[in-house]
Amino acid sequence: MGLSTVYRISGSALNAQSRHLSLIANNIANAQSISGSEQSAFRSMRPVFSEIRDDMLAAGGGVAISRVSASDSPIERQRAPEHPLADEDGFIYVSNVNLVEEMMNMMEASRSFQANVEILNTAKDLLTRTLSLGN
Amino acid sequence: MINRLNDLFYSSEKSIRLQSGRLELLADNIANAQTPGYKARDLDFRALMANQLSGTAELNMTHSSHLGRQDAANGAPEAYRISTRIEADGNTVEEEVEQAAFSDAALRYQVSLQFINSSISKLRLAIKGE
Repeated sequence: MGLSTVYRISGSALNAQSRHLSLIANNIANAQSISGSEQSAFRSMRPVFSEIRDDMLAAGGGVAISRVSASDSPIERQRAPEHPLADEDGFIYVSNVNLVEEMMNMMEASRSFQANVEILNTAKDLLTRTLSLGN
Repeated sequence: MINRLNDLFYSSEKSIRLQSGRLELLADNIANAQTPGYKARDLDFRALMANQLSGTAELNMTHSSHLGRQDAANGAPEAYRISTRIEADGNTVEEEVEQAAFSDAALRYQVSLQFINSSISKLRLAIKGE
């Protein structure tokens, strides 16, 4: 209980958001990835955030990425018989990464990261002032 | 004499304690802004402060839809925020509202620190007799 808990909470949020950003970076990097079958095609990965509950504490204990789920939007099939990865019917399968969606998620993640950095700075400032009481 | 010194700092100290608990809850809300099903929480500061100063820590609900819960650490009731926007995934955190509330709590915290500081300097003045 107290301001030092804010460090743990916001720290967990920074950690979760930076993992979120690295997932987005991986999605964008693989936007053009091509595969020889629909099953093995690259699918956009999304984090599922979950609250860390600690019964010993009055408040919650921050946030974590509990699992990563693959997007189920359709995989695009293109006809390219000359492609080395093409299947016997001459099709290749492109990832289902939607760049616009990824950019939007990236902005959301970076805004959230910034908000949590602000919280950390304020908490640090308040603690410093508390420590210098009476000076 | 010691009792009177205690009185001097009592309300500011209580206020600081409550505000730091509130800051913690609000930080948790902001951290969970993208968590599916997460419900934003807050403390009813006015009711809590009245309880703390009168020495009774009872559940105080100022709105019929407040869901009070006895806080394990200091008997503080916390309530779910009545949100105007609920996401499709059940998340009720409005980041702007939470950030405004956080800076409000941080400001109140600093006000209490300021009160303590001025009490200390008044005491210093009295002790030195300058």
